[in-house]
Amino acid sequence: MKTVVDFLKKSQTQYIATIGTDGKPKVRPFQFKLEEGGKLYFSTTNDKQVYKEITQHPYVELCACGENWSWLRLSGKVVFSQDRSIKSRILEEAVPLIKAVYKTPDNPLWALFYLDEATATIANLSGNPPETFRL
Amino acid sequence: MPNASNPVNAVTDFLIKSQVQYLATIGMDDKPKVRPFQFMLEEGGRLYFCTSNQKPVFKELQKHPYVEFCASGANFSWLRLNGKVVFSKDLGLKARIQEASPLVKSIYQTSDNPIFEIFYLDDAVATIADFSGNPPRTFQL
Repeated sequence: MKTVVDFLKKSQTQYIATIGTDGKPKVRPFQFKLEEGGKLYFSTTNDKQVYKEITQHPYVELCACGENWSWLRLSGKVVFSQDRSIKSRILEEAVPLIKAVYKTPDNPLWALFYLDEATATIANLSGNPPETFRL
Repeated sequence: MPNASNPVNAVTDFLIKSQVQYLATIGMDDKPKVRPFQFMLEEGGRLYFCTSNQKPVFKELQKHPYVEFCASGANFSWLRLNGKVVFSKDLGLKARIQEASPLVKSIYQTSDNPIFEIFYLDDAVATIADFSGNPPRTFQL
């Protein structure tokens, strides 16, 4: 878990792939928020298209690049959470831009989620086999 | 001649500067997949990419040819580019792509390597957005 969390943090931006409401794949930049109790948390707002997509089709994959031409692929099933303490932690650790989006843990637009059945793979161009992590 | 007002130029500039794009497909398990990818070149208004027909992504593209790419740019901007994958057998273009990319050349060696595949996007639409408050720019390519 630590290897995956470290990779996510260092990459800063991840790209989340979803299946669109038109049945075609979609991908946009996303940001890992934090790990708590072995769960990887992400968040969005429920007025966005991506929220509709993950509600309709909860399986997603995220990808990010790291050092030395390495990359991470992380897949799992989206599970929404109303955990107020995690929302508070995210706000404490957030940059001003993110704080401005969510404002308070009680913001009704806030859609916090973690990945269930999560699997991560870290690969590179070294010729060594990828490392797989069941989280 | 390059034309600054040509929408494909704004998109190719963004793709080249971003270096890495992320390609989303629908997997053989019907779940979304995404991996790093690299834009190769633009030719005749078409955006070309390449892969190996030995990879899972090739099977995915055969089964479900609609894809989306995403890349980040300067000042927290990002590009989303979607379209329908069309494979090409053009050996001249395959050679040009290998000449343009030492990495691709090192992997496939020759333009007629039977595992080397190139494709472009048909019905391509790109959107460039940022946090400026300005609306995203959309380009029909």
